[in-house]
Amino acid sequence: MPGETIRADKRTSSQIRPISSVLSSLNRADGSASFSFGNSSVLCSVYGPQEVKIKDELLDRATIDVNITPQIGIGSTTEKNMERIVREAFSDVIISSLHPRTSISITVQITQDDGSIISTIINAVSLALIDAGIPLHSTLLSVTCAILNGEIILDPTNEEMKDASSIHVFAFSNTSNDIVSSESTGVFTEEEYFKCSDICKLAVSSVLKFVHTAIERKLQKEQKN
Amino acid sequence: MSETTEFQPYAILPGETISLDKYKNDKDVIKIGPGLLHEKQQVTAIKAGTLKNHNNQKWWIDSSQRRYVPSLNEHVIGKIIAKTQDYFRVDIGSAHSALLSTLAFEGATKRNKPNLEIGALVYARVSLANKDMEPELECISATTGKANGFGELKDGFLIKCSLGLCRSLLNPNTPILTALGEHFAFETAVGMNGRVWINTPDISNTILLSNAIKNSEFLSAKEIKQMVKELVKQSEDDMEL
Repeated sequence: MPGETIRADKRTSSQIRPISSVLSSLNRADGSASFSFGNSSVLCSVYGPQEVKIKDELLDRATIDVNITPQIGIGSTTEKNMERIVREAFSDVIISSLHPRTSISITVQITQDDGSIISTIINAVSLALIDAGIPLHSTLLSVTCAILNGEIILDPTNEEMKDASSIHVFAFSNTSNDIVSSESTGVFTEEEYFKCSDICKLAVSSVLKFVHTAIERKLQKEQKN
Repeated sequence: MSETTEFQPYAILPGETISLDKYKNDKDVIKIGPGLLHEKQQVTAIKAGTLKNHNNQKWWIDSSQRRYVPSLNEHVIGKIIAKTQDYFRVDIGSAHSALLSTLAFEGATKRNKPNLEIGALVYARVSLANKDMEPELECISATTGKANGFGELKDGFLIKCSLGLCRSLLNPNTPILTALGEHFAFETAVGMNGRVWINTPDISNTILLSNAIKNSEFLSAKEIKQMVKELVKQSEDDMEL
């Protein structure tokens, strides 16, 4: 579009980086997937429904356990916060009442972090849960946007996130297109927030299209006969 | 009869709703199976897979996964992990281990109980599958009360695979077992819980069989034939050395 600023990586402000994913990449996990937005990529494995430690047992639903490991070293408070965001988002999406007294364990390894990492994680977890066959109310997908010099840019890289005045992570369900999870940092107006949400909602539909194709490919591979 | 649309199976993601009205006649009774949930007057997918139906009346989602969730009357292969006077505790790969009563065998009485050691394999039928209760197994047929092939699996070798592969192995015309059967004799028991027991008189054939079955998951019927041929030839060459 004319008038739009071109970013450092030659994208326009409303363009997301190229998406790629691999399903069932781990052969011992019940479900696994890797997902990447450009240079941000994560690997996620899902185990479950499996046996649960007695102290974590819930009588009416499954215990959802999220573990996020950074690229280097062990998890710090940043990862703990991401674990909370992922757990809270997915506790409403996973139909945990179908598997009471069990545990669904989600493990995420960040393989490369170049911004918008929470969205990358949410998308990888969604794909891994689908791969594991865990019952879900909806498919949850996420996109991040940032406000940089008064302009809303989609899927920011680390470089862009550093200078941004505010960063917004949105996760939408494919059923109602409503926001399931939203995390914002920085200073912004109400108007800016809703503008960001509208832009992300549009961008998520292209991620959904991608996921649909990825699942179709996997099914084709399974049903060769 | 009112007009109904022809249905074509298609890929579906969790959360997508299905409008069954398009395909059903007014008096049809709809039954929904695995992967579908009836909620708020709508039928929604809760798993990703291929949406299929039978006579526009029975609907289900066909998908493969690795973790087993017990379902009534499915045949499973389990491993005895503990035993008490009244029951065996059996690992069937689900979240909770299953219970197998010592009286749930053909001809078993309080005095004459089957003698199964810890670690033994059993072929059994799921007789109770409720999400809030531990699954229960029986080694007798539900209709005849006879063993009907259920019971201990002696000797042999156990391999694990995905549930989708197990279902395809249960098809009587499955290309992989037919192709292997042309080369040598073997015995198999396929559980719906992702476990396949195989028994051959010759160890080298057991190895060949387990490799062939594990490899066959994503191959077409033609590729399977080729793969089996190559494996058999390789094994024969090794024998000569």
